[in-house]
Amino acid sequence: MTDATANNDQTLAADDHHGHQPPKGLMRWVLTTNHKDIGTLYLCFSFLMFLIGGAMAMVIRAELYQPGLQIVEPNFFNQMTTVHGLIMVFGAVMPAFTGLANWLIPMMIGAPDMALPRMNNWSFWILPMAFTILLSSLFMEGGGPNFGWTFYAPLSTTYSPDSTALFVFAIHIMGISSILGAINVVVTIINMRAPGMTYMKMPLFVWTWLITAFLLIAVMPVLAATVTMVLTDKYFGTSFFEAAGGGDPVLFQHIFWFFGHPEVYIMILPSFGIISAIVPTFSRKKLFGYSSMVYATSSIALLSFVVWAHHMFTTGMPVAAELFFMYCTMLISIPTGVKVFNWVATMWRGSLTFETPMLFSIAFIVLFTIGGFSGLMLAITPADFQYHDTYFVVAHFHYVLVTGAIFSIMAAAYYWLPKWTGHMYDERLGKIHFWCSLISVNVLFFPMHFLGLAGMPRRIPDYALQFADFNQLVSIGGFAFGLSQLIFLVVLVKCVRGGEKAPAKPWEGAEGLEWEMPSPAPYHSHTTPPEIK
Amino acid sequence: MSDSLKQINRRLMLKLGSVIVLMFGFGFALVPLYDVFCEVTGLNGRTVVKAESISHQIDKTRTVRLQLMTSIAPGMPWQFEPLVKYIDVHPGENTVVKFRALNLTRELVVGQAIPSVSPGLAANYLNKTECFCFNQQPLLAGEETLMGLVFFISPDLPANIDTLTLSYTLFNVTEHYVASSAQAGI
Amino acid sequence: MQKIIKIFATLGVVSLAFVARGESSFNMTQGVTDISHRVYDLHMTILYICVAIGVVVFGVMFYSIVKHRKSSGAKAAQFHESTKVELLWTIIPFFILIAMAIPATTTLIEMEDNSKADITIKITASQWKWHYQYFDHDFGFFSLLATPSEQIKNKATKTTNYLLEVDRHLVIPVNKKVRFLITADDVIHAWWVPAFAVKQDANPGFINEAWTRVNEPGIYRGQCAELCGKDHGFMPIVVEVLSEVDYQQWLKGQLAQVARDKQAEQQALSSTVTLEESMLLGKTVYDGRCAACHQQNGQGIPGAFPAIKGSAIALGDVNAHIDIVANGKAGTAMQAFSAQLSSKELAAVITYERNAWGNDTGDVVQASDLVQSNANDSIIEKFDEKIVTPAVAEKIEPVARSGEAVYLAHCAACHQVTGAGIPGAFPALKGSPIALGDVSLHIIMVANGKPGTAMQGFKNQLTADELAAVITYERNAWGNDTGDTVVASDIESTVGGNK
Repeated sequence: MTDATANNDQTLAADDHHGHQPPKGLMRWVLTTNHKDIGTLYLCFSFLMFLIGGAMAMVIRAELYQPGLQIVEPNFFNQMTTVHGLIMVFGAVMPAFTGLANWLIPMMIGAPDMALPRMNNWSFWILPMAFTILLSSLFMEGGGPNFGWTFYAPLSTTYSPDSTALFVFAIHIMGISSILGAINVVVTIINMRAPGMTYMKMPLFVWTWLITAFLLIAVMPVLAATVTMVLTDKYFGTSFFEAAGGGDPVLFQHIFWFFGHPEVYIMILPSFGIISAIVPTFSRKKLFGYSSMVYATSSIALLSFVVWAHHMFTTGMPVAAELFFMYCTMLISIPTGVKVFNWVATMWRGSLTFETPMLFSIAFIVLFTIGGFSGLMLAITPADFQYHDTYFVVAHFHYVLVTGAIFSIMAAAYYWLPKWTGHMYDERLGKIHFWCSLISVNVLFFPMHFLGLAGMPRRIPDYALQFADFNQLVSIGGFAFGLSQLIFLVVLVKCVRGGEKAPAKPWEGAEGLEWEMPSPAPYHSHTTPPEIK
Repeated sequence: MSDSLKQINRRLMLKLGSVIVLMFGFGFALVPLYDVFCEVTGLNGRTVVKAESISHQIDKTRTVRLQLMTSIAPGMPWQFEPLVKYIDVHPGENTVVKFRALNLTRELVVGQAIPSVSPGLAANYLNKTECFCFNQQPLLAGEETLMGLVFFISPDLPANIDTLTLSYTLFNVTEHYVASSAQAGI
Repeated sequence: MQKIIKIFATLGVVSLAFVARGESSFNMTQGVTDISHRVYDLHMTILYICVAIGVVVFGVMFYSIVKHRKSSGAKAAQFHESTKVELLWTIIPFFILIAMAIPATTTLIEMEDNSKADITIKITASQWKWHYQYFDHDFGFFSLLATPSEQIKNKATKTTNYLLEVDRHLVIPVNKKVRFLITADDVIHAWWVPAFAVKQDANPGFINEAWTRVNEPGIYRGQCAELCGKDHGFMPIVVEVLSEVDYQQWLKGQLAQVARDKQAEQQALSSTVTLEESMLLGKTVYDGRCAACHQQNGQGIPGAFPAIKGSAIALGDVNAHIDIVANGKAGTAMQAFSAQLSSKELAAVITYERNAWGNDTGDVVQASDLVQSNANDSIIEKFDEKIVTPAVAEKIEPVARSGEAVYLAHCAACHQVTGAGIPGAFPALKGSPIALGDVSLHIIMVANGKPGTAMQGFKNQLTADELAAVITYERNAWGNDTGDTVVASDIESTVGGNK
C-alpha cells in the first residue's frame, strides 16, 4: 500500500476546517467530524451501555441470589442474559475501543484527524440507533431476544419471539458501524502517518488496533451473513439451518464461531496495546521485546481463524477435527504467553510507581492470565466435555473480558484522562475505585469456577441446592462490583469539571507523540506533521 | 486535508469496502463449503448423496450391524418405522431394507426423510443406491406404503466400527411440495 | 502492595486446599466410570501445570513489584530485548503443551470409541423433557422434572434433590457398555451427566453418539447443558444404575407394564367418561405438560406462546383441536402429544382445554373420538396387527441381479418401490395396462422408452438378462400376478440385441 511518503502534503492538513474553535451546543456533537469529539462520543456511549448492561447483570444476579424463582420469569431471565451479552460485547467493549482509537491513533501517529472524518461521524451515530432498536424490542409482546448472545438456530429461528427481526436489524447496524470504524482506522494508519513514522516505530496500541481492524473487516461481514440467514430462515422460508429443508443447525454454529472467535480477539488485542503503553510508563523503562509483541499479536490474529470449533466440541465432531482444533487452540497460548512474559520483563528492574492506571494494568496481567489458564484448560477436548456450557466457561470469559478488556479500558481512561480533559483525576478516589473493583470482581467471578466444576450449567434461572452458597457469594460480589463502578462515574465527572491542571506530560516515564502536545489536547492537533526521531 | 491525500484515502477505503463485500459473500459461501466439508469428513453423519453404482465385491470375513431407527418431527401425522430394527451384513453386500409408512390423516401429506448416520465417520462408507429419502414422498389419505432402501457398506469401512446407526427423521413438507409433473407427462 | 500479595496468596492457598480435597463441591467430580476418572486426572494435571506456571510468572512479577519500586530507590535498567530469553520462553511452553496434548489425545480417542456396545438407548430431547427408547427391547418413556412448582415458586420447602428429580429414571445396568444415540425434536439440547463425563448435543434431525460403562450402582444426576428456551433450567437427567440382576428384574416389570398400558388403551376406547372425570384428569395433564408454555391460566405468553383461553382452536372444530394436540404443528414449538400421552389422557386434556377458563364449550372428548377424528393414534393399533411378521430384509447377490434389485436401482425413483408411482407425476405400474397387458408392448416401452415423457429407454443401460428380469418383476409384483416369465431371448426377438 501507499506508505508514509503520501503524507508530504499534510502540511496543508486541516485547512478545510474553517474556524479553529468548535461550534457550540448540541449540533456540535451531532455534526462533528473531529476525531476527538467522536472519540468522546464513543467513550460516553460505551460507558452508558456499560451501566445498562451492568444493570441487567444485576437483575441476573438478584434472581440467582437464592434458589427458586423470586424476581423474574425464566423467559425474561433469558432475555436478560442475551441482551446483557449483546450490550457488553457490541455496546460497551467494542465502542470503548473505537473511542480510544479515535482519540489516540491520530495523536499517536502524527495525523491531524482520522482519514475519513464524515464516515467517522456516521459510524458513531448509527450506533445509538442500533441499541435503541435492540432495547425497545424488550418491550415488545413476547419480549426481546431470549436465545443467548450466540443465538443458536433453530432456537433463534423457528422458536424465537416475534421481535427477532428487530434483533437482526440491530445487529446489522452495529456491524456496519464497526466495519466503518475499522475501515477508518486502517486507512488512517496506512495513509496518515507522519513522515518518518515507520510501521515498526508505531506505538503498540496503534499496531494492535491495526490488526484488530483487519480482523473486524474480515469477520463482521460473516456475522452479517449469519444474521441474514437467520432472518430468511425465520421469515422467508429458507432452510439454511433446518434439517427438514436439507439444512443443518450445526452449520449455524460453524458460521457463527467463524465470526465469534476472531471477535473474542477483537475485544482483547487493543487491551494488549493499552497495557503495553502503560506498563513501560510506570516502570520508567522501555517495553521489553517490542518486535516480538508485534509478531505475537499478528500470530494470535491469524490463529484465531483456525480455532473456532473449540466452542463446539460437544456437537459431535469427528475425532480428527476435535484433535485439530484442540492443538490449534493450545498453540494460541504461546504468543499470549510471550506477551505476558514481555510485560513482566518490562517491569523487571524498572523503577516502579503505582498510580491507578498501573494498578489496573497489573491487575489485568494477573487476572487476564488466570483467564488464559482456564482457556487452556477449556481447550483440552476431553476435559471440555465436563466444562462446556457450565459456569466454568462463564468464569473464564468474564476473567478475560471484565478483568481483561474492561480493566484495560479503565486503565486507559485513567492514563489518558489528563490529556483529554486537561485535569488530573482524583488519585485517591481512583485508588478506591481500583481496590473496590479488584476485590469485588474476584468475589464475583472466582467462585464461578467452582460452580462450573461442581456441575452448574450456565444460562439457568434457578439451580439445585448444592450451588446455593456460592451463588449467594457471587451475587454479593456482583452487587459490590456494580456499585464500585459508580465511583468511576464520580471520578470521571469530577475530572471533566475541574481539578488540578495537568501538564503536557503528567507521567514521568511516558513516551509518545500525544505527550508532546499540551493538555488538554488542542481541538486540532498535528496540523503540521511532527518530527519523528 | 489535501485533495491528493483524500483521493488516496478514498481508494484504500474502496479496496477495503470490496473486501467487506467479498467476506459477506464468503459467509454465504460457507454453506456449500460446509456441505463439501461434511462429505469429506462425514461430519454430522450426512449421507445425502446417491451412490454411483451397486457393489460388486463382498468382504465375507466381516460382519457389520446396521441399526435402523426413525424419528417423526412435530407436525408429521404419519406412522413411520423400519420393518427390522437391525440387520447384519457383510461389507459390500447389496441389501434391501424396507420402512413402512402410514398417513394417519384424511388428506394428502408429503414427507421428507432426512438421514443421519452415526458414527459420523461411517457415513461415507454407507452407500445408498436407492432410497426413499432422495425424494419427497406423498401419501394419500389413510394410505400406507412400504418404502425401500438399497445400500451396501463399503469394504473400506474402518476396522474399529462394528455397528452403524442409520436414523431417519421424517418431516412434513406438504406446504413446500411441488409436483414435478412438468417434466413427466405419461 | 503487600495487600495484593496477601490477597492472592490467600486465594491461591485456599483454592489449592479445596482442590486437594478431591471429591468436593469445589472441584470436578471424579465420577464413576474409567473415562470420568481419566478426565478428572487430565483436569488436575493441567490445573497443576497452570498453577505452577502462574506461581513462577507471578512470583517474578511480585518480586519486581516489591523490590524494584521507585519509592525504595530503584533505578530503571536499560535493557529492552534479548533474543535468547525470548526464544527460550517461546520454546519451553511449546514442550509443556506437548506434554499436555499427549494424555489429552489418548483420552479423547478412547472416549470416541463407540464399538462393541452391549445396550443401545436412544435419547430424544424436546422442550423440556427427555425421552428414552430402549432400542433392544422396543419400549420407551418420557422423563420429566418432578420438582413441584410450589417449591420453585418458594411456596413450599425445597427438598434435597430440588430441580434434580424426575418422574421416571433412566435405568441402566452396571459394568455394561451402554451406547446413547442422541437427537432432538425441536431445538438443540445437550445430555450431560457429570459422573459419567458424558456431554453430547442433541441436534434436531441428526443423531449423535456417546457411551458409558458405569462401575458402581447408584443414582446419578445431570442437567440439560445447552440453552433450549424458557425452561432450559428445568429439564434434569436422572440415571439409575442397577446390578445386572436388578436390571433384568426391572426390565421384566417394564415390559409387563407396557402390555398392561396397551390393554388399558383398548379399554379406554370402549369406555365413556363424564365431564367431571375428564376435567379432573385433564387439569393434571394440562398443568404437567401444557402449562409451561400456555400457562396455567390458559393465557399463554403473548408473542411467544398462544393463549388457549378463548382461542379459535379450543372453541372451534373438535377434530382440528385433536389434530393439533395429537400431531403438533410443524415449524412451531407445538409438539406431538400422541406419543407422549395415552388416548385417555389426550381426550381428557382436550376436554379440559375446551371447558376451562370460561371456554365452556360443553364438549366431552372421549378416547374413542380420537379414532374417528382425522388424526388418530389408534389406527396404529390395527395397523400393527395387520403386519404380523415383518418381512425379513433381503439380500441381493451382485452376480445375478434379481428383477427387484434392477427395479429398485433404476425404476423405483419414479415409479416408487411400491409400484404406485407418484400420482400426477409418474404413472403407477401396479395394476397398469402396460404391466398387465401385452408382453411385447411392455418390452418395447422399457427397452426404448416413451418419447416426450420422462420414461427413458433402458436398452443401453441394462443387459438383456436384466431387462428380462425387471420386466418379469414388474408383471408379477404388487399383485400384478400375470404369471408371465420374460427371458433374454424374448427381449432380443422383440427389440433386437442391445449394444
